[in-house]
Amino acid sequence: MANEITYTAASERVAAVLYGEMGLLLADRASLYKHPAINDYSDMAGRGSTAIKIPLGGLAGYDAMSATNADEVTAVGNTALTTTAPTITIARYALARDRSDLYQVTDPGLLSPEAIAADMVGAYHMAVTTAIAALGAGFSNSVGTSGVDMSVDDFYSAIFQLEESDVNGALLAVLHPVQVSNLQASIRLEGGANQYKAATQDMLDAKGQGFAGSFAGVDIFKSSKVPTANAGADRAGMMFAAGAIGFAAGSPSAISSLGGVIVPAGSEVMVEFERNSAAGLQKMVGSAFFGVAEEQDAMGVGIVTDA
Amino acid sequence: MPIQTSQYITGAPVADHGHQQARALNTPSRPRFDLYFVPGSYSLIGGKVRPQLKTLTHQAGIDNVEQLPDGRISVVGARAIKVANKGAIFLGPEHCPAEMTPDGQPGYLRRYAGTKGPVYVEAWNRPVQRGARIIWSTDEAGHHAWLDHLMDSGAVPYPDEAVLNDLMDRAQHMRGAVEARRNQGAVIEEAAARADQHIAALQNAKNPTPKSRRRKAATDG
Repeated sequence: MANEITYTAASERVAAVLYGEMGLLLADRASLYKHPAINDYSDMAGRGSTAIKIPLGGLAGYDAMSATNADEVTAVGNTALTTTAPTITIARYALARDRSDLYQVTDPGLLSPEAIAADMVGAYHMAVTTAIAALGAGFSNSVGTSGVDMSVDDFYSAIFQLEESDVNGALLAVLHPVQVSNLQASIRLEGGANQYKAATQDMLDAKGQGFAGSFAGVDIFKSSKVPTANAGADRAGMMFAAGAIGFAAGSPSAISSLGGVIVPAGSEVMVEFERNSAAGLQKMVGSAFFGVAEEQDAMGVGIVTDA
Repeated sequence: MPIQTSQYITGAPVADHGHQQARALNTPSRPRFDLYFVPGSYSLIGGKVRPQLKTLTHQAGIDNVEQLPDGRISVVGARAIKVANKGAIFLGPEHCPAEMTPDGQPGYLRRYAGTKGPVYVEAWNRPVQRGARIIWSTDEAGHHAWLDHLMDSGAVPYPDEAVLNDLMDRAQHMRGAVEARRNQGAVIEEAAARADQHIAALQNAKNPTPKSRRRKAATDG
């Protein structure tokens, strides 16, 4: 006997295609968490804990030297080092799809290996974006007025708030689509020297589909995952710089004895197949392990405006 | 056309596990959450300076919410970090008596069954079924009344002079920034009017109009 068309052989072909597809999709920078304003502390694999502590110290000029005015031989006293250690705890996120044999017979190509890879990677990116967006409702500082559409002033107010907090570096704003459209309307209304720089195709290719453009030198990402505030009356977007939000992911290692496990090298997403012959079902499960957390409260500001 | 109250779908107070909902909402699931107050966090809400509450999402992997081996999640560590780092004051069901919510149930959280999992929202945020669509409606006046109740009951402090001065400083700074944009050729009338309204509202908060004393009706004898 030879050349049987078996489920296993087909599955291996699917696995090979998926392997290549997922590697390409994960390498794509089309996701919010790849932005340089978000600190990435991956990889959590082999650390012996689901949590990572990030030691932060007040160095490089945080404490200035002081004049030793007493006399020329009095020993200088120690200055306490300001330290903190925010923690990021990762958890498992997963997506499962079950397709029947009859569906596979009649599938017009909707669930091709490429589509499955895109589905799992897209689901992972969306989960991370949702988790990051949720942090906007937690920063102590916030700008905007409840029930009032977002305007140029709210955007500047957020920049000023971060400047007052001595925040340096490139800023990133994560806003709800309603906030972005209100901001654009406000900019259009005013005209003048301030111009909104809409995302071009090159920018979208580099920064991902969520990138909406930039204004006043701040990159703007829009996401419908930005949470509500004030009992749904508002949306809680945010603006922050590197140091406000930390991200960590763990890449699970493949279980070598198990068939149909696809884990591209260093991948954050693992996809497995599980066959239930009695039921005529093939389950596809994508898993990822990640966590996000606020690192330094003052380096971010919430933007709470009308939903 | 005003929305009829009877069209609202009733959610379950989180403690009520026996709640039966006629139809699952066709809307994405939303995880459970805590509301908390960070000292000093106030903003103009409904024309008054009120506490700007923050949210801790009960989802593992977000802000140190942990996944436990038995499948449940723990927010103990996450809450402790917020309390230690920000002096957060977490609000529980006891901070929201039944008379403060539109459905007359205690607690600020409501749970709805959704097609993609449970949907948790605040009690003042209610879904209305419009055919296959769900429209969310907010009882803003009710929510504002609850924020006032939080301050009246002492759960959250009233904004002090320093907070009001800080809000006013920022508002005046922004008013100046609006004026500066005029010099760059911007049309600022609307922004200026909005900034002036903002300042006026803050001025009222700093110097509240004294309540008019109503004379008691004269009674014979």
